[in-house]
Amino acid sequence: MPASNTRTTLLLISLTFCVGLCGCAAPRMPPPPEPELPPGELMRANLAGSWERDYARDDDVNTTLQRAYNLLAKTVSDQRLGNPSRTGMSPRQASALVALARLAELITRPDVLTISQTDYEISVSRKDDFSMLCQFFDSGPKSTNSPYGRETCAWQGRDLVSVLRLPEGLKVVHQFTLSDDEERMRVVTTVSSPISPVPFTLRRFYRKFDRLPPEYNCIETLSMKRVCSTGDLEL
Amino acid sequence: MSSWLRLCAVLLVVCLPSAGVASQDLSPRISVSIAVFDPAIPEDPSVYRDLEIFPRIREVEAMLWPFQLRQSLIDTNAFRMVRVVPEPDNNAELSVVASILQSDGFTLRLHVVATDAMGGTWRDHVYEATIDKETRVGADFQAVFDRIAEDLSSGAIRLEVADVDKLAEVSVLRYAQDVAPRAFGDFLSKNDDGTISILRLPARDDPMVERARMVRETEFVINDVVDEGFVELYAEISKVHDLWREYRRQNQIYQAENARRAGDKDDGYDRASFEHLKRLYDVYKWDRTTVQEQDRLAVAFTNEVGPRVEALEARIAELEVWIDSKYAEWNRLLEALFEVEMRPEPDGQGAL
Repeated sequence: MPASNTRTTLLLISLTFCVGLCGCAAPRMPPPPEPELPPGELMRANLAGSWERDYARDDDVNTTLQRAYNLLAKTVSDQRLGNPSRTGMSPRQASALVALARLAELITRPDVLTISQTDYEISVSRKDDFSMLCQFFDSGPKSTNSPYGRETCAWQGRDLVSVLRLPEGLKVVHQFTLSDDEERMRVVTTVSSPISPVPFTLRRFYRKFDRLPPEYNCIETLSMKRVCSTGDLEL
Repeated sequence: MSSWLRLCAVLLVVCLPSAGVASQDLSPRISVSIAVFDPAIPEDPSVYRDLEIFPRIREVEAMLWPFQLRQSLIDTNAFRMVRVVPEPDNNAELSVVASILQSDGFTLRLHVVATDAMGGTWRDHVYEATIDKETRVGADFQAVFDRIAEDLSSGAIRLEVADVDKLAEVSVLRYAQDVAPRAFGDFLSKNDDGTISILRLPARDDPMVERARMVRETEFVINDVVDEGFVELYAEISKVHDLWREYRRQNQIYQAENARRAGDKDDGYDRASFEHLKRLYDVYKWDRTTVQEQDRLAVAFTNEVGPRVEALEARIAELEVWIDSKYAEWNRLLEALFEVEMRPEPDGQGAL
């Protein structure tokens, strides 16, 4: 287990223990407000390219979790003031926050994002995960619907915002922001659910990089699988 | 003068053996023109994913399926020539057009309209076949084409010799009307219901009709070259297409498996646990990954067959340009000939 994961686990355990000591019930808060998604216009920014993680600038998960925990405690405390019968956060709420944090950490784990962009689509490929898909047509953004969730994208200024709604109110929001020189990118990922009064947000930073030109020209085919050649490919 | 020489050259072409596919039966039969199917791709690209339409693949299928239908029609032995043509041939003795309503590897739905030269509708029907997911019975949708062929052949074999002759004659007259409207404009009329009425018939051995017939035969020769191109394409890529459909079927099986897994509501974990949240995420991930794998295979299919299809399309485009230019020339020549032949003799005593 990497050192950061070990530290995260230790912190999570200590948080759970601490909440266990509190042993008190807290009111359930409504989920955080959704980012306002204005009607999409066709491509406001060009995110296409290969992006590698800039670990030095990334949020530290433990610090972020501590901050979220403090927010949760404050939120519950504020509510307690308004309702004296309620006292502190519940172990379940803390456990839910930890669950959100672990999910956010898992989702944002890929160290390389490969983004392709056409006139209508932006696809974000990630290792060990599905490719996020954003579609924009003249009629507006088009959701990707599945029986198990719904992915919708929109532009906020030049930021691309992707909202994935899953069953039971679980929601994953990614906000992609390009630097002015378009060489760096920040991805803010927020995971929220009705099970936790506060969402969990992680920031990841990326640098654009050029992939080395391939030694061989390769294409995928159906009957011959991957076909490669050192020269021009002729099937 | 050069135009005359070119016309002669064109007329010589009709003496070349035709490459169309003919029934071995020598009894009177009508000919059929099957147009390349309408892929029926919606104009709005935003619906492609929801309808699971892969436009380029649908276009390829629109070129491939007509050949399966042609073979089925030939096998009935109820028709003379059975051609596949790039565009619907309204002047054909029997014209078959079809739109692909659904083609997803498991189900093929075709809207087929067959109309004869008199404007009579033989068939206007949606044909459908679904492959059994477990046994893969009818894995190549042959049943659809056999049913179409059966329906059309049952109409064809009921035709009397006089009906066959009439359809052949009207077919030529309709073509002649197109290529030389001044000469043939008043032979036929179209009724409100789309059927054709014969107003008058040309004299037996009318030279203008013979010329129109020969020009048409020339066009058939060109069509047969196109047809041969389709045959080659079919031979080259039908196996890859089979593979695509097989993958697509597999994909649907995976999707059914995803649905089954998602249906297990009780995963045994607390709703506030990481494991439960991860499962909600993973179910969506599996579904999207399955869909994206299908997208990847669609690209692989297009990579493989694309160059062949594009080469054929370029060849068809060249021939169509040639036909269009010749058509204009034939039109001008036939109209000029008609004018010459209809011009009254200057002295009223007949030509020398």
